[in-house]
Amino acid sequence: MLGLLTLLILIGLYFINSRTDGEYVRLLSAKEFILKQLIDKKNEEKKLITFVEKSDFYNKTVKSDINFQSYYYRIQESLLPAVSGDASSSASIVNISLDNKRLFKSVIRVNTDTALFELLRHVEDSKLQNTFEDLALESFSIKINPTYYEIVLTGIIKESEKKI
Amino acid sequence: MQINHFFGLDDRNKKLNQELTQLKNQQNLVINLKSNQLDQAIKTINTLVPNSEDYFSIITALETISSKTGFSISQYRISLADISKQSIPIEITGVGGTGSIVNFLNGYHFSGGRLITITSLEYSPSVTKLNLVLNFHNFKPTKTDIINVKFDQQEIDKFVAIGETLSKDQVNQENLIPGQFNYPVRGNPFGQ
Repeated sequence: MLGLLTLLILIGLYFINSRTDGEYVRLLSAKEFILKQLIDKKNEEKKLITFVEKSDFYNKTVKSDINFQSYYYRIQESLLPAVSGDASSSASIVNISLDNKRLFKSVIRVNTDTALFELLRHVEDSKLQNTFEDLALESFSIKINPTYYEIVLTGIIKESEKKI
Repeated sequence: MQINHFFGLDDRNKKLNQELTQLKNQQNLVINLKSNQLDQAIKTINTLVPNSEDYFSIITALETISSKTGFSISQYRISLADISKQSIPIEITGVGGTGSIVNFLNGYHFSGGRLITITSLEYSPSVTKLNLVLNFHNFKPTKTDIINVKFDQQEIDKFVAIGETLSKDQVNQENLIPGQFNYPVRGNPFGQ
């Protein structure tokens, strides 16, 4: 009985051994086949590595750039109150600067005191918090002959969800 | 003793199997590659982002964007102190109608034939004057190992398409020059 059991175990071990060895030979042969193909395509592989690294750099650089056009329009639309009544007395942007950290500075001009009050009321509107992280009135000036008023606003515009 | 030997064989096969999986990934990347397209994509990306800086192509890119968009660049300024290993900042001043400025801001990333990003912008609508600090980028790849390289065929298609757009634009520009300006055009600016 013990002899038979030993014999069965030995036969089992023999089969496992043969199967593992067979698998090893099959894997080695597959590895050899792939390596031969890869050696033939070494030049393509080198080009691919170069391309992927460079296109990653390109994509990261473009992604880090902000969409100036869309930010410019958002600043313009948000800061200028809607034209009401006489269009010639409404506010207009004289100058606007914006950097890639979304910091901006804008000079806005109005020709009448009514338009000035309307502009200041608009700038203090709490709805602008939806557009700006930070908004401050930096300076205010009155020019005469011809008379007009200029206010300088600075701040940070909120990041736009829309990417380039 | 015999059982340890079996476990050893099993480990050996597992390691070989892992190695094989990695090689198969590598094989899939390289064997299925459309070689012609890769060459075109590399040519385009090397033009957009050269391995080392090329001042001549910067000036050409600015002139190309200027003529394409109608945004007239009147001044360039390169601050040597701000040049870094991978980018050159250039301050430019130009004028143009709202349309040309919008065109410029829509297509500056690659339409000049070089990768450009903007650091800052200052615009005066009443005089349609635009001051910009642009960055031109260069990059030299250093990787040599394909392991962990993630490849997407769409990336190759994207740069092939950019290359085709740039070539078409170049042909259009060359066709425009003799009609627009009344002076002889020399192919080689340094030739006789």
